[in-house]
Parts: sequence; C-alpha cells; structure tokens
Amino acid sequence: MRRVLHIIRKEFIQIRRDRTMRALILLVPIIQIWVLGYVISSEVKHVSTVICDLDRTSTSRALIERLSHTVYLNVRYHEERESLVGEYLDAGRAMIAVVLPAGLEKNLQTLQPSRIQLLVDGQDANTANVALGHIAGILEAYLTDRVRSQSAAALLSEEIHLLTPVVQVWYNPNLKLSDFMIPGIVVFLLTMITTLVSAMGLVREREIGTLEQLLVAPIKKHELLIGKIIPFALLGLFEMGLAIGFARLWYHIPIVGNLGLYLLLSIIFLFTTLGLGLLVSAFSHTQQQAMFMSWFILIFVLLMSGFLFPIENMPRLAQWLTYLNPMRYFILITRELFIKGAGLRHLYIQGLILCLFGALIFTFSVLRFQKRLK
Amino acid sequence: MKSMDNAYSVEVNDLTKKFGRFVAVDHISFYVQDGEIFGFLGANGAGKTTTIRMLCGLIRPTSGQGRVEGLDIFTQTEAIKQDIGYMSQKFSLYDDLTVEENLVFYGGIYGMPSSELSLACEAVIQRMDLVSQVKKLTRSLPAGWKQRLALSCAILHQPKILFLDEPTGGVDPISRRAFWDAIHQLAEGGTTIFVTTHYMDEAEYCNRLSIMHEGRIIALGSPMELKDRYQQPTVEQVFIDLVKPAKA
Repeated sequence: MRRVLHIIRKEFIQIRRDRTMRALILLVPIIQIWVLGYVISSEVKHVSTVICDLDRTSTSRALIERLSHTVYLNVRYHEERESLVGEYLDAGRAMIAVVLPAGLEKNLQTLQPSRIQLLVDGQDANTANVALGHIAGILEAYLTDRVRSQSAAALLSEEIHLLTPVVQVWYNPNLKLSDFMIPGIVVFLLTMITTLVSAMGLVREREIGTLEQLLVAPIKKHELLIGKIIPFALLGLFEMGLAIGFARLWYHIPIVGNLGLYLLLSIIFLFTTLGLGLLVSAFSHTQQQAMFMSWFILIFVLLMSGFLFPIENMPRLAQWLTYLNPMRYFILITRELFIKGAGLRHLYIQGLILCLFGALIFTFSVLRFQKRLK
Repeated sequence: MKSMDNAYSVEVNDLTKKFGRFVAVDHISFYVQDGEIFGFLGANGAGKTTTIRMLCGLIRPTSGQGRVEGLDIFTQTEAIKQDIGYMSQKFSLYDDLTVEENLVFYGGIYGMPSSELSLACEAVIQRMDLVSQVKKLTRSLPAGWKQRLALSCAILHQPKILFLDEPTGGVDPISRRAFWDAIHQLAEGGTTIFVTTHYMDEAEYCNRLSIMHEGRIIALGSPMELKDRYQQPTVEQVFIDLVKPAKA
C-alpha cells in the first residue's frame, strides 16, 4: 500500500510540473463541450431549397409563403422552367427542389388530387429525410387550414380530421437534440481521455527507461498498475465533472437523476477504459504504437456505442457486436440518468455488466503485463 | 563444478540466453565473492547487459543455473529484488522530478517506512555530496550529477549487491574518478559490486575481471593475473590481444 501511494504521489507531481498538461486538463473538456455541443447537436435547419411554381395562383403563392417561413428550409431560388430544376441539385446549390404543378388550385377546389414533386439530394440521408418530413408537415397543415375554412361538407370528406393524433413527448418535451447529445459528448470525452492517458502512462516509462528500474524493485505488478491508474481515474473524474458543469451552465442540459449514483457508475466504467489503456500499453513498445493502437480501438468503441449512430439502425451483426462495447452501456446509463432521472432500479443491469467487463479487462491486463523485459 | 556456497554473492553455471536463434549469452560460469568488485568487460553486444538483466530477474534465462545472494534466478526473482540495487546505462531517473523527489520515490517503492526513508535519504545525500542539488529538477543536472543521483537511488535501500550496467557512459573523467571513489567506499562497507564496462582504465579498479566476447567468457582473473598470464602491460592490451584472434 505504501508503495502504491508513492507511485500515485509521483504521478501527481509529474502532472503538476507539466504546464502543457495542466492547461490541457482545464481546457480540453470545456472547449470540446462548447464547440462539439453546437456541432453534434445541429438540428436539420435552413436546408437550401429551390421552388418551381407552375401554377401561379393564390394557392401556390400561399404554399410558397409557408415553405419560406419555416426555419427548416431556406428557399433560396425560384425557377420558372421545370426542366432546369435538376441543375440546382447537380450544382449542389439546393438540396431540395419543390415543383408545384399547374392546376394545383383548381384540383384543390374540386377535391381532386395533385402531385407535388419533390426532388431530393439523398447523399446525406438523414438530413434529407428530416427535411422531407417537415415539408410533408407543412403541406398537410396548409391543407387542414384551408379545408377547415371551407365548407363542413368538404371537412367531412377529409379523413385526417377524423383521426387527430394527440402527441405527448415525454422526457425531452421540446425534442432538444442537445439534451440528448451533450451527455454523450461527456462520455466520449471521459472514454477518450482515460484510455489514452492510461495507454501512454506505462509506455512512456518504458521509453525513458524508468520502467526497467521499477521492474527490478520488489514491487508487485498489481501495486504498480494500481498506482499508475488511480491518478488517471481521478483525472478522468475531474475532467468529467468539469465537462458536466460546463454543459449545465452553457447548454442547460437537464440532470434529473442522482449524481452520486452517476459517480459510482462512472468509476465502474473507468475500470474498463483504464484497463483497456493498460492492455494497449502492455502490447506497445513506443508511445506512437500505443497511440495508433488506442485510436484503432477507440474508433470502434465510440462509433459503435450509440453515441452518434443509433444502434437500432445498425445491421444485426453490428448490433450484436455493440454488446461487447462497455461504452454502449455507459452511454445508455448517462442518457437515462440525465434525461429521465433513471435510478439504480433501472440501471443495475448495465451497472453489473460494466462491473464484469471492468473486472475482465483489468485482470487480463494485469496478467498480460510482465515484470520482465522482452 | 563449484558448490553453492553462501560466501558467494553471485554464482552462475552454464548460464545461457537465446533470443530466437541468436545466442546472446553462451554457457557462462563464474562466481562473485561477497564484498568484491567484479568487473564484466566486453565490447558492445558481448552479452554483458543480458547477463546483468538475467541476474536481476529482468529476463528469464534459457538454460543453466544461477544464484544471487543464495536465491535462484529462475524461481526467486522477486525475493532477489529486495537484496539488489541496479543502475542501468540510461540512468533511469524522472527528469521532471527533483533530486529529492527521485530519491524518495525510489526508496518508497522498496517499501521503506517514511521515518526510515527520510533518514536514508539524508544519509545518501550527505554521502554522495548532493546537498546543493536537492531541490533542483533532475532535467537540469549535468550528466555527472545525474549519474551520482542514479547511484544514490540504487543504494538507498542498502542492497547487499549492486549491479552497475556501464555506469559511466557519457560522463567526464573527473566525475568518473569521483564515481569510482564512491564505488570503492561502498565495497569497503561490505557491498558487493558487479559492474560492466568497456572502459579499460575502469577495469583496473576491479578486484577481479571477466572478459566477455560474443556471449562467452574468454578470460577471468584479477587484473594482475590477467596481465601476467597474457604478458601485457595493461588490461587494455590483454583485451585487444584476446579479442583480435577471436575475431579473425
């Protein structure tokens, strides 16, 4: 135990002496949350749109008016010739083209269907889908308003009025993407920092030769490894606290759940990331190798966690693989706890799985670490 | 074959280390007496560092037998570590720690209680004349001082035997002389010294020498004996004489 304390103390002295490190520790979480908060939570807005009005009636003008007054679209171009509409998409000037057909008003008055053509640049499928949804909504709302202001007979002929959904959005009533994404960024930060510092920590000592000196000392492997990772764990928790505090102040993310429980689950999660870092350092001889190996693994850990891409949308095989990813469980824990205020009652399964992963990864890296040189 | 006697600090029999097909140390046998300064002489790549690392428990030997302070180098490596001090060629110090912090850290990982540790640090600082440097960052020290600090870290826990792997590389002649004075003092105090070097003048300071070439010990004896045996005025001449025909 005394030996472990000496190692911990040494690590802290080294961190304190390193001015660059000190600055990074304070700035990294704040800058990442600040910048990435805007980037990742960007909702689909201001999609560049071109409109071709072949009807030229008060109806078509009213529709254009509505399409122009939504934040989701930015109607930048009006094209008179239908044949030229495609050019806007080809040139990348517009993502969506709306063609209002001739006879639109007449058809509406006689309750005949009209076909409004939407051309979409589908490269960014997500944005395209969301924007299409908004346009459909706008058209429907227009129709509803118009029919309501007409005769009661016409009203009866419109099914949509007979089935009106009453929607209640729970947990995130304003559907603010940032409330969902920013806790994810906090987890991303914690995962990245702790894996990397832990991977570098031992390899750095191997490079400068001090590891050799530690290996000829009568210190047990687990004493050495625990002494090395405790400072990194504390560092990780400090970074996380800073990130959450900043996210709360700047983005007003909700924290409904119990932060004490969150701290406990975070510590359990840290065993998996720190253990992963140790494992990487057991296989690396230089910091460069450790860096490459860490990122190779981190990319999978980050992208297969549900942090950016919903797991439900992945192919079946990839979905199964995500069960092997500790971050998957911690992302879920974080979102459920922050947004829904989930307690231990809801999260204990994830917590137990993380315990298991942490114990496995950590034990394996202790076993893998040799008190000998190659 | 010699008996496994406790009067020997190190005893090695047919010790061999292979890295794949490369034989780094090839069936060497020797012993080191308690309290003597035993020199391991050889060109770079002769197998000196590999031998020292096997004795310190850093590398597992391929075959043979060996004991350090009566403990087996195959099975009792962790017990050996409490008894030995080790200084590698790189002076494994933390550059971003002060002289004092390095001492406290290395003493600490040997499990010394804090009262004993501060006394031991004080004694070593006096003995190695480090008083003026105590609060300085190790990074800022000249090589000679770093070497002295590395030695201090290695002897803080009062090992029975001290392994020095080319301890004077890159250090000026005056510092080297001072370093050897310290080594002699330690030996007089009863510490066994096992030192590798390729400086021939340093070889003259040793009680006994073994000359290593391509993984084998090709000569062993006191500097005087070796000079007599090979009819040469200096150890350097003995070495060149021995290694040249071996190369041809």
